[in-house]
Amino acid sequence: MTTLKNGIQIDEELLFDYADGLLFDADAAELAQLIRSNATLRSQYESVMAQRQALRAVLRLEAPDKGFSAQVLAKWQAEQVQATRPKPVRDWRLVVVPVGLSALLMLSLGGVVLSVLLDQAPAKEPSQPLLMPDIAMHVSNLPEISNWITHPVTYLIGATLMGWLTIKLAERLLIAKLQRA
Amino acid sequence: MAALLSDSNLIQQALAGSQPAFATLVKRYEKYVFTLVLRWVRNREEANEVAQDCFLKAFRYLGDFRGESKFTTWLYKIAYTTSLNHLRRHKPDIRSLDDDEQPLALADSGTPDAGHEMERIERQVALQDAISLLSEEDAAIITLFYLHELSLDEICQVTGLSLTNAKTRLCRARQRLKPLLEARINEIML
Repeated sequence: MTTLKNGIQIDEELLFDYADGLLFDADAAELAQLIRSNATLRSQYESVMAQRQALRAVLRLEAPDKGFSAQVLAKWQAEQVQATRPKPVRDWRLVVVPVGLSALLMLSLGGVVLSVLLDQAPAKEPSQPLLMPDIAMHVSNLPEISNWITHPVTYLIGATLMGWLTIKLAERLLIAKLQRA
Repeated sequence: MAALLSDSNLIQQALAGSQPAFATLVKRYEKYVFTLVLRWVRNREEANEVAQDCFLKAFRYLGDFRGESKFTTWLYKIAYTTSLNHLRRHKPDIRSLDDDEQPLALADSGTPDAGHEMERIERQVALQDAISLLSEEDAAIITLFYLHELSLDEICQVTGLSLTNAKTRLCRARQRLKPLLEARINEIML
């Protein structure tokens, strides 16, 4: 096997590199000289050149479908129109108010159902005696407060208040956001 | 008129909003981008879509093109990454010569007494398919090098591969195609 002065073996890959212009100038010049003077090497080089030519013949440019450019430009123009169009300002009140009202209704109904269930539930006997009977004496009106707390009307009022506060808060946030936009 | 302008002139005009400049850029490079995308995607319909996406991405980010590399290198890089992303999303299982270290052999004609014409057609078909039977990466590199005439440095910019890796892949692709190429050469010689 012939080698270059720097010890690189001259094989088909090196000949390809030479044909492809990938060798350093000095190596390329030396190889060119050798190809001219060595018939075997010249034959190998011609084989490489034939392979390159065949490869280039196979690697042909493929055409995309007809109307490719027009489609690209149409998409591009559509994108431009979309980009320049001012974004529609969404009125979040249209979402917040119905959601708030629904939440309010659900809370009210939930409260009513819960209070009815609590009223019907049998009272449990305390498993252990009270540790501080004196305190229990001072708050002897506790059962009455308990009745008042579990009353459906209380739930309704509480839920209404919470719902109203939620809506007002959401509205405040929305207005602030719209002002920033 | 626009067709005679250089890429950089067209880019300037396109950035200023000229639609004909965009159109000329697409016309000028549609085949190159499409061919490269087809090497990866292997399906004309999908390649059409992906190639269109490449141009749209290029137009979107045209303002970022600094001219440090050739416009084509930049454009092919977009084509490369877009194709790669498409493959990651859509390609289920890819038949590739990466799994087979043997050089590509001619297909068996199937019948022992198949005529010369049959063999010739088979060779032609096999050679046409040879590129698509390489791994996507190898097929893209060999296409970029021999068809798009990019240097190895430019191929590295497009693919993100190291110089050694790109060269190794180029050599490997050539070696795998060698039997088919030699058969074609013999056919021409006869």
